[in-house]
Amino acid sequence: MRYSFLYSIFFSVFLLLGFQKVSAQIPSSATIVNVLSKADEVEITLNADEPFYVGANVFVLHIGKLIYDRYRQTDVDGKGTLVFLIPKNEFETFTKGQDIYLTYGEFWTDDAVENEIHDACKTSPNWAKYLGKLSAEMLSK
Amino acid sequence: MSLSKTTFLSFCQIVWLVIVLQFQSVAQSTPDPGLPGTFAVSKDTFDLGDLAYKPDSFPNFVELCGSVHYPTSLTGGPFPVIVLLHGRHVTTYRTSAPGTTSLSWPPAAGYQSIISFDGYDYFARNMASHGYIVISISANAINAADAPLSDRGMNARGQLVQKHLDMWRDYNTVGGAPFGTKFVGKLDMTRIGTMGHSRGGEGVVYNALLNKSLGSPYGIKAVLTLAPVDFYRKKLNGIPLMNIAPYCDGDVSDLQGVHFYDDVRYNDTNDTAPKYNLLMMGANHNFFNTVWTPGSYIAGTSDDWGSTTDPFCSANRTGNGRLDTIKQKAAFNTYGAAFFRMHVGGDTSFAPILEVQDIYPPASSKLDTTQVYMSFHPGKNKRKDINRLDSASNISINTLGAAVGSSGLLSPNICGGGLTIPLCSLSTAKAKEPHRGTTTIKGLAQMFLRWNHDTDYYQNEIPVAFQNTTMYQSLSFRATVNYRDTKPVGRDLDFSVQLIDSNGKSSSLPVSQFSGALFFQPGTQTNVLPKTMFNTVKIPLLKFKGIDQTKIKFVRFLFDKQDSGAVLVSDIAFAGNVKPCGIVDAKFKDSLGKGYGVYFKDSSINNTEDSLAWRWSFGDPLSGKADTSSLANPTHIFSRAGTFRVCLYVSAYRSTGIVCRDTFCKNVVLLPNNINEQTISHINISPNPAQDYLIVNGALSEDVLELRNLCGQTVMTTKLRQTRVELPATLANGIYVALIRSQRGTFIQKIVLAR
Repeated sequence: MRYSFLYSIFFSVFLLLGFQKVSAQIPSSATIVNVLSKADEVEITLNADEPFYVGANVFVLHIGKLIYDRYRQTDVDGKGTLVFLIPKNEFETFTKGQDIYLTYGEFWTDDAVENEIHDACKTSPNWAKYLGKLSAEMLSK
Repeated sequence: MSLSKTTFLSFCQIVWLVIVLQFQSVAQSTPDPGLPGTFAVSKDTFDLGDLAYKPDSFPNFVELCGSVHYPTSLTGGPFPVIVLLHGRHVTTYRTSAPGTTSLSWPPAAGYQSIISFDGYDYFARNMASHGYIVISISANAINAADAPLSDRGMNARGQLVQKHLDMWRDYNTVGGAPFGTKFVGKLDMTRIGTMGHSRGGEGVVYNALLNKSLGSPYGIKAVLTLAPVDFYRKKLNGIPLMNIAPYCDGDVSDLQGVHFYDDVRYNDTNDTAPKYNLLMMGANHNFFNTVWTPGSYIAGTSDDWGSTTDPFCSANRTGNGRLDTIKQKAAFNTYGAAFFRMHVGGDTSFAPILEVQDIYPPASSKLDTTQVYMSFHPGKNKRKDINRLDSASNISINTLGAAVGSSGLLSPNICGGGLTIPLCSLSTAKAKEPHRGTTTIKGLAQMFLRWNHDTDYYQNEIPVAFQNTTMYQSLSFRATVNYRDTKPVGRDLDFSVQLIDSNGKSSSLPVSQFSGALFFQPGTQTNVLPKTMFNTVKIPLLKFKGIDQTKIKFVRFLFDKQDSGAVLVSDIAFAGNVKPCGIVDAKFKDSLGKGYGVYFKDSSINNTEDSLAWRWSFGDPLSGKADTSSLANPTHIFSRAGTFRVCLYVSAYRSTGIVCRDTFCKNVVLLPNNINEQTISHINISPNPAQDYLIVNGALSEDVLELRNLCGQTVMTTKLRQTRVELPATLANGIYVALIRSQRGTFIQKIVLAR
């Protein structure tokens, strides 16, 4: 009985707290944490302190003018991870200093106007995030 | 509508609202599909295991579980079936800390499933109250593992729906755990509607294609996609389809589901299935599902419109245009019910809501006319395309083969119909251009019309062969405004539609009198809003006065309402729900004569000035030449007992020289032994219509009551030991023939069963 009462309060508090909840499809803490070369693919891992959005649309990784939307998504204990799968032959064409963006949804085609994405990172941060430039360290993986 | 939301009502929209309100009394004659029905409703859940089924091409086993809503009293079935498939959402949460979620399957120790399939209970309850069996199925295992798949789970979702249909076929035929025989004979698997939300939308479209490829073992009559993805641009023809596009969708923010409509308009020239697209202003992605809605469930909920900076879509902004959770669900409940009750249930009384005739939203939707806009593409048998505007040549020659002209317009051109190119070069941001193409599928071709003088016009000539428009109800086209243009001060765009007959007489009507489609779609969110979403404008042809509607030579868009502006237009057509040739409507009545004789009486409706010709076919080839007749009211002596398909073909010869034809067929049932329905003075069967029992007065205890259906099959036989006869609960509603056999003869009466 006592458990049931406490659980009801617990449940109600969660519903109440949840009432104002809005989503950022891309967590502000999202960052590239690892680049791992495998046989045919290179895995680029992004982590965040909160889950990446689980919805209908896809996350898209923009590197230069190329886009990638094949990834594994996990959401464990409130921490989010995306592991993008990049064909190795394409990864080998990348050069140091290329901009990397993450978008939720395919907002632009592969000939995207980069300054539009850059603007979107400021005006619509829940759908677009700048992840920095490709470094020599990433390319050496 | 609250006062604060008038921020987004322009002058034109207010005028439009006033006009609509004036016609409200007419509009309200359409029944409200969102109101609860008369059936008491029960709900069961079923769970055959978290890892019970392995779809092909999917790496994991998936769950087979869900819920079913049904009329508590299952007598009177079989009932039509609706299947609901939720979309991609987080799958489990930690029981001790629901704020912690996990995208995994099956639930790990200490976690439990997020029951997304429960989120449409409000809709399932309403449909079940109208006599539907509504099955909502869980797809969490697919959600947990579809991200890296090349098809993003589309195949698996389609197969999962098919697997559930297989399961319910078995529940309907032989029964099985956990329901036993409860649903045996209760599901009408020839009348099924499917609804998919989010990724489920693409799933149900794929399922309908899969079902077709398997020889259509299940009768899928209608497919509804709710805020869907359409990653793979699958084309579903031949089945009525409705897409619902929520304007403030923060997840599928490019409203790509409109492609399910755009892509199938003209690809199948024999497609008679209508398509609908409903643009729901202020709705987001998640609030259609209560389990995804903050305040309605314990874990994983959110408002997917995450931005807080847009004046229309951000719920935190004063005067925003968002629908609250109650309105959004009510709106789906209403329009979803209209669609399924019309195309699965066969109730055409909702057609005006879906076909842009009654544009005032039903009261149960809680919306007003500025919150819902519909596109409607009739089947090929209910429209005559004037100009599809789907090829570059249509800028000078229309679909009817006649000339297209204009005067004063600034660089009119057809654009947007290519691969990947933005629509008429409005924006490179996809989310602002929902109708665009991909690298393999063309986008929506459209006519770009810009004017700078109030005498400018665009027109399509109608060839002589098609100038008689009396067989159609409306002139129809889709339109939107170019959001890059400057909005006229204090109002939205408007122009006149003008019909000009071959005698040079003309009649003009403003678009704003019939549609609010020419509004500037709101929002300022960079790269996402505003959008160009096309909506249907439909003007009844009878509203054009003083012209000869049998000789319409030009359909002209006359830009006389503003000094300048620009619109985008597609799909110009004559449309109608009337039978071919307008008011010619073949009908007949029949009455039984002696023996196998039947009297037929023409009761067709037609123009009084027409001269008519009749041709009857009695479906009775054994009667030889007598099987046809050209009399208005013939008598036919049938060669035998049985069921005969009798058809009346009416030709109406008009003074204009046009011949209009219509056909009406019905089954005539003749019982054996030269006996037809008799009224017996001393035998009486009541009540009629009946529900659960019959009272037979005047019969003897050794007399036998036999009930036959209209196919002549005996469905019940009993001795009349008592005057009250209980009817089996398994008998479906309909017309039956009650025969009372006695030594005094056989007596017959038609009985209507209406539970």
